[in-house]
Amino acid sequence: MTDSIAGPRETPPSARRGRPRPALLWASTALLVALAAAGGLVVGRAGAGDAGALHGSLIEPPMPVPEFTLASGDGPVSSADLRGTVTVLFFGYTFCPDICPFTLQRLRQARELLGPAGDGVRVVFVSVDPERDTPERATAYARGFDPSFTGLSGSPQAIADVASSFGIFFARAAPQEDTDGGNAAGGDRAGGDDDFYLVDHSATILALDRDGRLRLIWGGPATAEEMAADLRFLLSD
Amino acid sequence: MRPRRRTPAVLPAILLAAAAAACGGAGETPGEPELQVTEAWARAAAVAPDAPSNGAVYFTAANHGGQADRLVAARYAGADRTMIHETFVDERGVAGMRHLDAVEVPAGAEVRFEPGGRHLMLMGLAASLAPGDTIEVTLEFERSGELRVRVPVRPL
Repeated sequence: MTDSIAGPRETPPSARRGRPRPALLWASTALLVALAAAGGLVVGRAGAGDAGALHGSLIEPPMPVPEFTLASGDGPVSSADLRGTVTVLFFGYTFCPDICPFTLQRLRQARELLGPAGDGVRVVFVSVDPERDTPERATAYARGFDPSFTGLSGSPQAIADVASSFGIFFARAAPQEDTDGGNAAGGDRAGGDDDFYLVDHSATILALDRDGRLRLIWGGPATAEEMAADLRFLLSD
Repeated sequence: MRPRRRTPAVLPAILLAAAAAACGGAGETPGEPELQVTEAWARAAAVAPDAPSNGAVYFTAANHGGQADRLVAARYAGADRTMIHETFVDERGVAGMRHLDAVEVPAGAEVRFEPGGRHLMLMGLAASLAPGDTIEVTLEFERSGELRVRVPVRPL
């Protein structure tokens, strides 16, 4: 067997009980990050004026992504519909109390900082909680931040496929233990936590160019000003 | 008989005296609470007026006393559960929230609960939190006891 060339190798038990699907998604996230890093380096070396000062990681050349169709409260939205504007994609869920609203608020601010040019930027929120987030709920949630925002959901399979193609990881979090017990007002925790689960998800924000190709990734917590600066570059790209 | 009395009765008294001395440190204004919660706010939490989301409450806890204190629980009557949470982003860029059993507020220090970090999560809201509303949240500190805080709701 060709196995023998690997020589004796121990696999730690922890590596064996991993779920294969998240591992695949992480791998694709790693790929995107690697691409982003490579893109950033290329631009840095070229010393291209504005691009050198980007806060996010530029994808160079822009990366085509598989076509997809998801659902908004007003009907289907497909990747083809996102062409013609710069599109900012953020994956989250409407029951997320902190980082999702924090991110969408910053995206609204970024768009406002661009003034009239902000109309050329479309912000799209994609739910990673399709079981609870109906298309109507996702759309209403996104519009609560800015009436121009698009909110999408879809079948669990459709969401998983789109997330995967953008390197976005998500998984339902293990139930939170409220160990002091003093907070639950009659909450019945028995039998799982179907109503109150949380979802872990990539905090990455992605920007697509006017041709719907992946062009820039904000991996860290970029400020509204930083994202506005990067969007200005993408709008002039 | 005498050996049975020993120190047990005396030791707590000494500890209490020590604690009292620590509390009454120099420069402390009489009547000022040692633990103060300021800048409290909640983010509006609604998908639609009749469709609540989960809520988040932020604040700054300042400990003007001479001893560390710990936030050990929080309550809001309008939520099924109120939890002390911290948003984290791991090395893969994946964000999640972890439950904190307690948050220490060291003596003379302040601890901020702010977006993207520590917050109180109001889980299972009975009603939406609308901008302009003010809610009352109870914070339970290990030493300072319960603090009732009025929390204005800010728009999204």
